[in-house]
Amino acid sequence: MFDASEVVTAGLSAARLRINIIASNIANAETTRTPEGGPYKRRDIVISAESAPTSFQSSLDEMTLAKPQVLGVIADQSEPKKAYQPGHPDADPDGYVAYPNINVVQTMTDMMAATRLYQANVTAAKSLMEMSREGRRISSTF
Amino acid sequence: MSLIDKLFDKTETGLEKALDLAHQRSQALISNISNAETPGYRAVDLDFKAELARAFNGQSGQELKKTDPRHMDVSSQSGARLVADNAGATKADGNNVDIDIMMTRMQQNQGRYTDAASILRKKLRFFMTAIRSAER
Repeated sequence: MFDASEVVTAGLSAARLRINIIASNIANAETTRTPEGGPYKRRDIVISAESAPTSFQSSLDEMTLAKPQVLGVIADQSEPKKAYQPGHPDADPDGYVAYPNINVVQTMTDMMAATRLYQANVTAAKSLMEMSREGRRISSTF
Repeated sequence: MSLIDKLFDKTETGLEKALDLAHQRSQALISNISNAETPGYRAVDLDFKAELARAFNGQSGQELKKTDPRHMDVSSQSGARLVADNAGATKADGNNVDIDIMMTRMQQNQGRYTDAASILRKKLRFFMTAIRSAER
């Protein structure tokens, strides 16, 4: 079984990565040129629940703890949004400029949800610390 | 009845178990909070009341028959059982963590831990008073 501090650390780092990626998506919502060519592609994070390595003990338990594990960051492969701007240096021969397929309003709400998730993880970490402090206070009686 | 048994009655055992269970439950709740956005993750929890009652009554519910004295004792080896928690609705990605429920539960659980710890501290202080009074 994982230690709770291990789980919450993984949770914090996954939540922070999600915030960073969403920030990158918002900042690049209008980016039409990238080193790899074409407009910026929306990034997304893939998280999976990693269970503790199977041991004799864990096979006795019905359920075990899991920690979020970031499998990777993927680029959205959907079609870019096209806008008719003939004078634009990145316009194609027909005069259309390819913009990232990013809905800024939706991304902002995702950002709020991600921030809340990060805060929840911070609260969990604080609670864990508070409990271990309380536990140590028992021995301070002596 | 040994001296130790006289000193430590059922209260200490109960408080110790309550601390242990609150700690284990916090691990389950933290796992849920950390995985609140993990696709396919299913929430887990620990039945505090049932586990505490189990500890007091000495019923493990999982007792296995031992045909050899060297066999391992399952009830003493296995900690409190984690159970599937279905309080939250399952989202489109298969995750069923309700973060608000989890946060309230964690607050409540932390309160239980703090209460048990402070009662235990007070009980231990009685002993210290008894021991120190002999010094005078």
